Amino acid sequence: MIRLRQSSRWGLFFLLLLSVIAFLAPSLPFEDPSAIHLNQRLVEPAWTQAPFLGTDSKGRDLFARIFFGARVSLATGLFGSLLALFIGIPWGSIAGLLGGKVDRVMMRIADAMESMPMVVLVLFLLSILSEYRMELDAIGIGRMHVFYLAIGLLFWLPTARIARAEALRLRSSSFVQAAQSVGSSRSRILIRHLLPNMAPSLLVMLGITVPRVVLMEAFLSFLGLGVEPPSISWGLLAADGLAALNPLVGCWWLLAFPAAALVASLLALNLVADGLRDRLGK
Amino acid sequence: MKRFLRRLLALTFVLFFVHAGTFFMVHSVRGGPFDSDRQLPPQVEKALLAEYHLDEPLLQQYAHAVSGVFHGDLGPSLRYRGTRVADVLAEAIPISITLGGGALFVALLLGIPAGLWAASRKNKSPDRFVLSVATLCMALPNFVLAGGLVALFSFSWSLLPPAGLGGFRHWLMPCFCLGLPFAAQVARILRTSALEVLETPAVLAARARGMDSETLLRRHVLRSALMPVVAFLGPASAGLLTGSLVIEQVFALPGLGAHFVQAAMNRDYTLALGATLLYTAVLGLFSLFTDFLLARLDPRMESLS
Repeated sequence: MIRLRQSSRWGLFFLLLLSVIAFLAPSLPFEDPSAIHLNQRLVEPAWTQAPFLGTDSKGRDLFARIFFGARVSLATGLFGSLLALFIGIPWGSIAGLLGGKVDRVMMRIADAMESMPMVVLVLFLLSILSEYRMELDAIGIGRMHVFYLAIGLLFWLPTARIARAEALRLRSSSFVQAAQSVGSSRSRILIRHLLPNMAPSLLVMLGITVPRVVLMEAFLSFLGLGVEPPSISWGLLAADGLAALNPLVGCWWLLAFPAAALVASLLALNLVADGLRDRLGK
Repeated sequence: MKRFLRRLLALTFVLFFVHAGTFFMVHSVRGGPFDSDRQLPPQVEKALLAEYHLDEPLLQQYAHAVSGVFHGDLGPSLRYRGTRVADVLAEAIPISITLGGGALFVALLLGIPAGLWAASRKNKSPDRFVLSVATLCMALPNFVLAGGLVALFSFSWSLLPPAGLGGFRHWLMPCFCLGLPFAAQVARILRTSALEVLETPAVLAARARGMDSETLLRRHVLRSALMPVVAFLGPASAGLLTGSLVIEQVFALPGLGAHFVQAAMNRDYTLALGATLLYTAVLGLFSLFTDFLLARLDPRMESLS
């Protein structure tokens, strides 16, 4: 087991606790996060009793909404980053392992993609795909799947570069050469020798990617191109809070608590990532 | 020099590719931009399609669009009737550049002294303080920061305008919100590189000559430690772009990002396409410029690639 430094351990503890609560949220005694109570709109936080963190403009309980929002935000962070690794690892390691012309072409493509404003292109893609929502739904591809794919497209490049560098490093190592000399196929070398040895740097990469993805989810949902209203995510909650902010009614809690949840989780994720990087190098 | 010409050529290819990709993506979307709200009489629809050349074969439309780009004409906006995309963008560019430039200024103004200060007091309380604040700032999404600042400075204390265009005071909060996460990264990068420089024999020699540490830091350490910060400006510009999409929305600044987001939501595809093209060009030129700067600062970089 990897021993992390103290701050990373606190971050990890916080994240685990939050994930467990978020995962079990539907079976825990929370208020219904979508239940509308029009007679209890914009109630201030009561701290010790029922609307702990207050209610929003439709009388929905903010405390429950934050924990249900965690489900979407954390799941996006995890699945989005895994998808980015899923695209980046084969791309980079194949380029590194094969070398030569293949490597050059694959990396040129990556260079070209790096020089494009990917966020803009992905926003473009999301807005165009939303025209085909019915068809996509019919073949079982929901909006969230498209969203994960978009995130994967945004974040695979750094992973591909790391995977390539690792593949290049390992390719010249003696055990890979030994495997080659006894006639192992390339795919076997890739799966049996390269991937397991890349694991530490890829773990670091995962640690760095997850907070970025969580932030990106908040960004996209805030712009109205990510998670959509019947679902709840921290980005959406913060956007609601920002919209409710005006000089007349100070509904500060609608922005403050989702923002606090988001910032605390990002901080914890960053601390874990920093710890992993220190521990595993890179 | 040859290398930069080659990069410029590559950028032209990327622009070409982005244009073609977005063009065909847009034009393969089912339904035209005019059939969303209500049923138009067939003659009107026909006239509209003819006006925007949407009734021609796709390849002919593409040829038309490409020749338009070469003439600096990006076609008419589909939503804002009677305006050209190029005009909308031309109005938006100064706003976005002011925002981005201001944010970059904030990032360097806060990040450089903080990073240097942290490095000069390694593992002491200033260092820990800078590192913790930087970690916190990197975890702070800038729309959250923007919301908090607007609530305090505009609504509670009425010190700064909450949104819109105007004088210097209008720019303070947007630039600060956009720049702060980058200031944090600049501080972290500069701290690391300054620590490396501080361990070189040159610094030891300067110390031995009796140079006071302030001059040492400013004159010698900062100059050689700035390289990674300059290298970071390339990726940072891409990040500034992402952030500006949100910040322009929050502060109601009619810049490129706001127009792009609106266009993507309104299906104003010519405007979105034009903005995408412009973004690609700006990003490419900026990264070219940083590379050029790096090569000037450190001649070794030129021979590297």
